[in-house]
Amino acid sequence: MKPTLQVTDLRTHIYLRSHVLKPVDGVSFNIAPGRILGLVGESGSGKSTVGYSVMRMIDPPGRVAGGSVEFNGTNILDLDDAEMRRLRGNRIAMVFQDPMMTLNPVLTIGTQMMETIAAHETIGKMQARDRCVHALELVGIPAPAERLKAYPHQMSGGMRQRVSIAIALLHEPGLIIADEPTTALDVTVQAQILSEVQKLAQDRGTAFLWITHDLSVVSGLADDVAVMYAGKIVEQGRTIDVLRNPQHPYTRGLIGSIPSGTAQGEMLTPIPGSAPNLTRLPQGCAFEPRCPHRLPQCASAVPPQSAGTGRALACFNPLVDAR
Amino acid sequence: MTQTPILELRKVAKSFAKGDDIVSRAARKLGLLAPNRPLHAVQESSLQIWSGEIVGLVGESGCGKSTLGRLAAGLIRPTCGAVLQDGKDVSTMTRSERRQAKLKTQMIFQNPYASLNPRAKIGQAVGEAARFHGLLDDGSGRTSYEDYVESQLARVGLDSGYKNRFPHQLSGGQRQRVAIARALAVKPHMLICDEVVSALDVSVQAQILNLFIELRDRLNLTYLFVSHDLHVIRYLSDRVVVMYLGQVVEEAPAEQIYRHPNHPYTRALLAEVPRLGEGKSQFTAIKGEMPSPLDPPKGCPFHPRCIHATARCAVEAPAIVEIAPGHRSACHLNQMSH
Repeated sequence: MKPTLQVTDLRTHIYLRSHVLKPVDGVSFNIAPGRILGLVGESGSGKSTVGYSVMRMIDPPGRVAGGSVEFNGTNILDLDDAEMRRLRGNRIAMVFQDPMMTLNPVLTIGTQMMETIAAHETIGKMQARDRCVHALELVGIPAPAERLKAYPHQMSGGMRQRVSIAIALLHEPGLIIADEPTTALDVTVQAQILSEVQKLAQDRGTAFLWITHDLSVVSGLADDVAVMYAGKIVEQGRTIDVLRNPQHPYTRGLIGSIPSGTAQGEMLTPIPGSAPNLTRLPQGCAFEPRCPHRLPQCASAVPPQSAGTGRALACFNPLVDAR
Repeated sequence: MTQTPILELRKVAKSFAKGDDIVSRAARKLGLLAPNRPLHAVQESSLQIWSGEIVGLVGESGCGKSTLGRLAAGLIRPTCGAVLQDGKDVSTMTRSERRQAKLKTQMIFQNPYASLNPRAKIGQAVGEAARFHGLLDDGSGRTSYEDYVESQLARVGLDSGYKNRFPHQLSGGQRQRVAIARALAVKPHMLICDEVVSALDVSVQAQILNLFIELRDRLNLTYLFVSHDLHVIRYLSDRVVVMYLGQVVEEAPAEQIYRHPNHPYTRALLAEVPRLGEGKSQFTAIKGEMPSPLDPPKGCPFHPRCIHATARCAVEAPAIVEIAPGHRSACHLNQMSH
């Protein structure tokens, strides 16, 4: 099937007076309709910047410096602003971590949802209202017609996040980019939202780019996973393959750091050190200073992306038999 | 287990009342406004912590777990019930006894950036309390302030150069290490950790969790670990206490509660934890959300969401009873099966 989103060699750089930061440096992946790709990484790895780049919401001094972002076959980096505005929020939607920041506190959610519809279409008020009710229903909000009159502060965190997902759904987008949408929520509420997302992908063929730091969420939710480190995807493939048999030392380090991966009483095997500073990246592989499997060449050359069968890896010394 | 627990909360409850301004007070007198209802953050809960133990306290946001942690740390006073330290009621202690008792129980918070003074150097943050309380002398002879601070930093894996830095020059993981060093600098017996690793990246989180285990073994510490993260709690705890809407609903040794959860809430909560490497899973959600603690349901707090709820659950609150050695649960279903 033709992918909904195809990102090739995306580079997003920030041009500062004294130097250039590269939060996204050569990222490639694609998402087919109805598939969920989990983009995983720690803070500062550039995973959110990928999402913003796809939405073309990078502000100066940052700028997309190269690569292409093809959405249903058109490179959206070539679109002019008006064309992009027609796409954004309409065909591609984004959901953020904190719904209290996304929603306007002084407008009812009904007003905000209608506004979203009016921004892209001219339809009757009643029809628009029906569509809002339907979107709220889809994300599992009880009594949606009455909820339209509610203000954001009258809802719980989980409800608010559902509303922001409902807003993203209003125009039945082909792609939804979700940036840590369940991180602030409790597990029971998170489970409710994840089950709605799975249904949406399955029933409507919506593609999801699910940005998160939580490998265990990705494990249960995503079809594919891409692991980012210091602006590059170090490993990607089918979720089950990558998590059961990680080949990049960083992926294995991440898995070893999660308490659910180890038995009680056993020590965790954390990755030594902390994530590199983007202003002082090592010359070779960015993970080299923390890597237990480094080779001499890792310090001097950047490992290229090797694409296998649905599996890509950037490492000179991959783990053959993990665990 | 026959000695006195290092810390005991005996039927403590804590409610908060919203302060009234003059207008609403007048309005209430005239009957224009509903009476001021207190918020019951914690309702009659008991908890015993034995020396050397790691107790995990889990629950969703708003269940009262942080309030219970603060009660245990002596930061707030219970509305009713008693907090006992080494068998002595804290409220009947003399001032100097209470001061000693407070030093013995230290608390560490979620966000080390908020809990460290941004204008104080790390060395000052770590050493000041110990100097004030005259704890610099460790018995082996005179210790200088500088040496003491350095030894405290070394214990949490920071080298002595950090004492001259400011909090903003440190990463999140390093700041949390400083917060731990500061808590340990006054030689406590017990640490109460409120979501201490939630704000950290997983690889750093693992370093800090390992540090906690190392320190416990080295210093014979006791922990009350408050967290919403069920993985973290399972990894660390000897015993797990589950709270829901201000009440302790289940309490058991860690492996027991994760293998054989008894309370329907615990079961639902554990079922929804995403696990690694189990492949794509179907998420089955508990219906509804936690009710507001301002308006808790009658009877069992969980009954509106419980799939096993009976008529009895809606009227009568279940008492927490022992169902197996060391395993206590508050559910009517346990009595029916007997």
